[in-house]
Amino acid sequence: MIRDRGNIKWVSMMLPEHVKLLREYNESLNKIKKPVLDEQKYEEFNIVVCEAMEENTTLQFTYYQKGESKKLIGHIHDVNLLKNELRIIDSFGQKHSLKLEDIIGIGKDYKEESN
Amino acid sequence: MAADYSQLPNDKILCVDIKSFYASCSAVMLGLDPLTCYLAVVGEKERPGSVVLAASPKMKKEFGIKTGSRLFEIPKDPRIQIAEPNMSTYLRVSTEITKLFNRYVPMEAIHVYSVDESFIKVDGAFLLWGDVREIAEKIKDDMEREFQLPCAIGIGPNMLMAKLCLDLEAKKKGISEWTYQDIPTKLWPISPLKKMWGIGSRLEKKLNRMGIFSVGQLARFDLEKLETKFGVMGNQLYYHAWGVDLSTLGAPILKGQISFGKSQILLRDYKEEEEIKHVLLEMCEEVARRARTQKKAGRTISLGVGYSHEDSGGGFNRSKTVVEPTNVTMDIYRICLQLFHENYIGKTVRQLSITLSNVVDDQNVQLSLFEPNGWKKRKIGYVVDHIRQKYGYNALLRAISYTDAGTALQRSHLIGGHKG
Repeated sequence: MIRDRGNIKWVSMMLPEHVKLLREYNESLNKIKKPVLDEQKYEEFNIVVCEAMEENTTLQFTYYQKGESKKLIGHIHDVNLLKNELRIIDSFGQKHSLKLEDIIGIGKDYKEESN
Repeated sequence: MAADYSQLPNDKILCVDIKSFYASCSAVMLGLDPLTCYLAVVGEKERPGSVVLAASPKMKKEFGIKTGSRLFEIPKDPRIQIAEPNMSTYLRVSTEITKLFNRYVPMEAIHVYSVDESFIKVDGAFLLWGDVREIAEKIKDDMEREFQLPCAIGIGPNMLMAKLCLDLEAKKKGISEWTYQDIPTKLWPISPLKKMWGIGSRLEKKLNRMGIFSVGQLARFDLEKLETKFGVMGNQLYYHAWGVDLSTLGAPILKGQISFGKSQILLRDYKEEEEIKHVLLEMCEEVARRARTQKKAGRTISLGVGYSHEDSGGGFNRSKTVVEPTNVTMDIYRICLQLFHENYIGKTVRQLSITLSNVVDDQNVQLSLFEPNGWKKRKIGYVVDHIRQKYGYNALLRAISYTDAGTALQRSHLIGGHKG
């Protein structure tokens, strides 16, 4: 009967520094590049934001942070043009500030949480 | 026939080895051609006894200087260049080469075996890049064009066969492929046994005493006898002789560390027991630190001691498993001392290694009721690490590191025991 020890035999003595470099590379693979948006897209955002502020509707924001795209649902509290930030309050009443340059998507379509 | 090859894995696996990696890298950095220059990488240029870490192929062929030679053995010749190691660059280049492989196959199909050797499973890539041979050639070309580094590639149906093909044929030919059919003609004539991967000179001697001198003899030996003599390793030896290997790719070390270890070859013979203990303590500290940085603790502590060649060599490797997982320096040290006293026979020591395995997360550690200050001992290790991280390794040293026996002070500037 074959009693293969499997992977254990291919575990070599590797320098911790080497393992660290390879791990970092592995992690970097899951990261995305920040998408570049055109003027038209920003124009669209502008319209959506203006409407939403007028009617105080809830929006879904997609933003870029450290290689990942993240989502946030809430309504706009105000726009800070000095700091180039949107201030958003989510459904739990938590305040968030989003840098305009980090935003990669704003939309009205999102799944309404039932309550 | 001992193996039904139709039932065994039949993948296409490449084993890529960079020719004299350290020497080739240094040659490229100096603007030389790795294949035609005469270059040796030496631990320290000023010390005549310094070990040669790597030598370029021409250096090996024409001057007989190979890894393990000494600096004073290198003849005075104007053509010869001597370089000191640059470990961090070697590691960076090695990682870049992994990225090159990643262009052909996903990371899951790459198994980094060491700085200069990797396994690549290419089965899934034929539609994109062509058959095995073509992929191997493309990779070899890329490495020469982009890094100027020469390499050899062995191809086999499993990792073992790829590695054997590399060691025994491809290193001479560049690219070669072995299949299960090649075993009787290419693997079995191999002798002395030491040439085969997985057989060291000590194991070879034992096998010789059993009347086994070639891989073919090993393959025809009685499996049961091998198993009673060597245990699982006997089984492995037998099936390796038949080219059988069921292991799958994927270096577990990248997913999560399974053990933490440190070994070093001492700069001189250590005769005094007291001095050996000093080095042991420093090494325990390092092993414990490595475990702590990943918030892990282990239950099995292994101690390896190699005696000096001047004292006719030999040594021992023993381990002990304790109930409570630990990453406390002094706990590990106490167990090491115990192992040391049980096995040490008073010879001069040249080599030491300590490993902490059987690893669990440190958070899961159960605090013992009978050791009221246990949590304090755990914490102090993390505090020491923190101070060292902030102010450098030498900010806080044990007093023994300042004795003649200590090696930590001078080693703190090194990567993998060599100049960074």
